[in-house]
Amino acid sequence: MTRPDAPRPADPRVHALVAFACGALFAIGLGLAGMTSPAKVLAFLDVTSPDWDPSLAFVMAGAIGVHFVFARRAGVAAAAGRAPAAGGRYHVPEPAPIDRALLAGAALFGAGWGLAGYCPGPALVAFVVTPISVVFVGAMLTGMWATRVVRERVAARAAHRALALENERAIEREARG
Amino acid sequence: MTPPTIAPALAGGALIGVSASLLLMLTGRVAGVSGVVGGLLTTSADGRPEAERRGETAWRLAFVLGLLAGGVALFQYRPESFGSLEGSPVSPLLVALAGVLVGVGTTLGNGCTSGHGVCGLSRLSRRSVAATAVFMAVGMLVTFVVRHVAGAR
Repeated sequence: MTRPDAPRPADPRVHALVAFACGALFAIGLGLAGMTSPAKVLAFLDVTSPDWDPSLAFVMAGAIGVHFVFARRAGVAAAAGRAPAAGGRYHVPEPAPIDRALLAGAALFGAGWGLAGYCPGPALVAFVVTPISVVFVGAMLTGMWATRVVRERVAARAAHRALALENERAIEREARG
Repeated sequence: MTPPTIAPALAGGALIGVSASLLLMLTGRVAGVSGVVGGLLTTSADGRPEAERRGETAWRLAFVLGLLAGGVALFQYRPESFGSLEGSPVSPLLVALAGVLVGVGTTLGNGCTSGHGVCGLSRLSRRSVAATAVFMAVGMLVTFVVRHVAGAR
């Protein structure tokens, strides 16, 4: 008999069903919170205005208040080698150093957020509702795709160079020996 | 200007937290929207078995469809969630530029408001604390410049 929480393969259909329900719940949370209104987001980011609207700070408070508990439980379960309830494994990012790509990326993202008042989640929630979000999402997907293509090309070139260097050394060794 | 709405903000935030927690506890996935979407745009075949890649695409697509469906439900029952439906406070060209910046930035920085701001901060990830501080600060700075220096909106 296997333990219910022993590692086992994910059932893709269950995972997709859960993901759909979570996406819908996430969207309703964003809408209720006010994150799907660019005017509301910009009124929150406009901290020097006498009419500053601090509401959206409470979205983060509410979300972290709940998720903090479960993120911790998932961390413990993952460390103990247990599987998530619907199988598969925990895909939680490994701790990594703070690097330039992270900071530059966050700065570019913040600039876009402050320009239009949309971040990725709310823009997708508004996708079938407000025409302007279609413009935003189209541009965002293009930016995501292009960055991935460039990053993969740079990585491939680096790997290629490493391999060429390795081959050169092997030939040299052979010539000497 | 928009009037403060503290209670719905807290409640909506809690729902976001419940959603992220369910996704993590049931499937082991992090509910970072830019990461979920970005994973659909990978161009390289990374040598993983076909079935695994298909399952990967399926849950990501399902999450995005859930976001869209939630948007439709909101429009049905709470259209004021979207602010003014007539248009954005910003010109379409500026919105497109903003979209590109968000796409490039979240890919380079590996996350957005949900991935770093909610999931990462909940894990007390140092990278996410740094990223969140930077995107909040730059978002506020850009809003300040656009509204009070350039005098737009």
